[in-house]
Amino acid sequence: MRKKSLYRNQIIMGYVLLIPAVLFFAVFFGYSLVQAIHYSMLDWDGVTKAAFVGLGNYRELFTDPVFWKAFVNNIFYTIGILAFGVLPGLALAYILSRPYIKGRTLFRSVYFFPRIISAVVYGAVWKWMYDPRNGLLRLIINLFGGDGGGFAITGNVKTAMLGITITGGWTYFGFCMVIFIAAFMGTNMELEEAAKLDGANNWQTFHRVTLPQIRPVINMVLVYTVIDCFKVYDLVLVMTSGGPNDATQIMTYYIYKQAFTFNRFGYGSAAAIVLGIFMVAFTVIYNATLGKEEL
Amino acid sequence: MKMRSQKTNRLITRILIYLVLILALVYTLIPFATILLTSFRTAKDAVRGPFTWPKDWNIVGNYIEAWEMGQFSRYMLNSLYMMVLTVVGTLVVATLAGYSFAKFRYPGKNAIYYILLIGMMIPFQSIMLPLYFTLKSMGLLNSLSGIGLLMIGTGEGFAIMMMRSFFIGIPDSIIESARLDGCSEIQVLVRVVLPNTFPAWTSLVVITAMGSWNNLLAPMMYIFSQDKYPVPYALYAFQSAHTTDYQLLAAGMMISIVPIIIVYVMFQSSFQNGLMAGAVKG
Repeated sequence: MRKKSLYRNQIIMGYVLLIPAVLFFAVFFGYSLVQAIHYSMLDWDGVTKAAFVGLGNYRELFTDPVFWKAFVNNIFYTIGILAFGVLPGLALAYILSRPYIKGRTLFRSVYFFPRIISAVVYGAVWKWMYDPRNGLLRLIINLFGGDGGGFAITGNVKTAMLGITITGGWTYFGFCMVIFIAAFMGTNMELEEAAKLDGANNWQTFHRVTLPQIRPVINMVLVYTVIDCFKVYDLVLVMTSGGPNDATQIMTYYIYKQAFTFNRFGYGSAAAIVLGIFMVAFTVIYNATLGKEEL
Repeated sequence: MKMRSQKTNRLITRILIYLVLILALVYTLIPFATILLTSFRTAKDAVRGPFTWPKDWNIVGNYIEAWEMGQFSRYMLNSLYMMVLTVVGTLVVATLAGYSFAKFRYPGKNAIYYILLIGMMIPFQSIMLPLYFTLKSMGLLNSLSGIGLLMIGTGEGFAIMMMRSFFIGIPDSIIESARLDGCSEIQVLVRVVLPNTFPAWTSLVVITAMGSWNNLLAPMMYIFSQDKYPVPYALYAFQSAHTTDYQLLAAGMMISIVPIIIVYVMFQSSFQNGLMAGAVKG
């Protein structure tokens, strides 16, 4: 008798504890998500009466060269972050995880530092560094005999995205390093010793023995990186605002601009839904294929 | 002889390794050093550009000027208010829900859990436009409380997941024995469960607080009055207004990052663990 009422109490308590979470989710997330799908099928400026256009917005979206440019730029940024962020992070983590390294905590704390600062701060400083009039990049190019004053990395259509990506990588490598170092510290050092005794060189040991042990962590970092790179917004806003000539246009900024500059809430929502679907699809497909071993 | 060359090889390797580490250290610190040095220069000296060595120093003047011109005291309070609201709200919501998912049995539990986790996969950017109208209809547009509340709703998925896995690690026997001692469910929660929760909170507090402190997109979308700007947005507006006053901009940046630097130095392992958990589980 007592046991039964205890169990019923538990059911009630279980639900009661969920009330705040469900409420916040429903009001701020669930409802907005449903609305986003709804808006994406409207031709609507946010103020006057909306007209239902079905999949018209999506059709227009897929034929808009600027949207594709934004998508390609996000992919470029992602690949750049892998090169300037994830790889250096992996290398530094490996070095720092060697048992004889002194000052590990200091290095780790400093490398991680850029990750905690707002893009409004580091984006602005990197803009100074890139400034062809008096920036650091100019000094470096001049040092090697080039024409630093004539090279505006973020002002040039061809290199603007590269400039942003380098800055992005600067904020990211220390973050990756912290994740990877924890993974490397957990690897079995005896296996490495054994491989070396068997005549494997350093690279072989790293590639064949150490790396496979942290494979699950690498997979997680890759998924997170892609998602993070498709969410980037602040950095682009501060450094180039999507310019010059849409050269650094990215998905999130495209959505923002469609809605708040051109008052196209329906169309912007369609782009937002495509972004959301892309991310969910990527995560699901990656985990089902390449990332499968970890599950 | 062979011994010796092996020893030299090892020495060279180590020197190279430290060289790489120190280069990366310099690379990381150059932007920060630039801000710091520039913030200490006189206006006349700073005109020469942020990458010249300072000649005239003005250690506190720029800070006072930027603080007053940028009205940072107001923006700091705005940010602080938003941050406290988000952090406290997220903690409450996620602790209760995480406890429920970990320690209670009831129909529909897994379904609800996975629905709440959808919030982790779909980015804020996908729902930010409708959210504008949601906030508007609730009278929360142009309101810091509105942003604080929406950040609880959009960020809770991760927080719930973290708290749930923490509570799963707490043995059931503690809770069972409290129940058998005649404690009501509320007493169990308050007397037995919550006192054990503090360790899980530090990482969650740090990650939520940082997300709130650095948030630029949401305030840009939903805040219109300048007196309600949080720090990053205010700094962005300040930058647009003073593009070449390097010394003032630098002082403004220093002001905006000092609070977070202090917190980082105090709780750096929580920072690293918190953001790491965000990546690994997200």
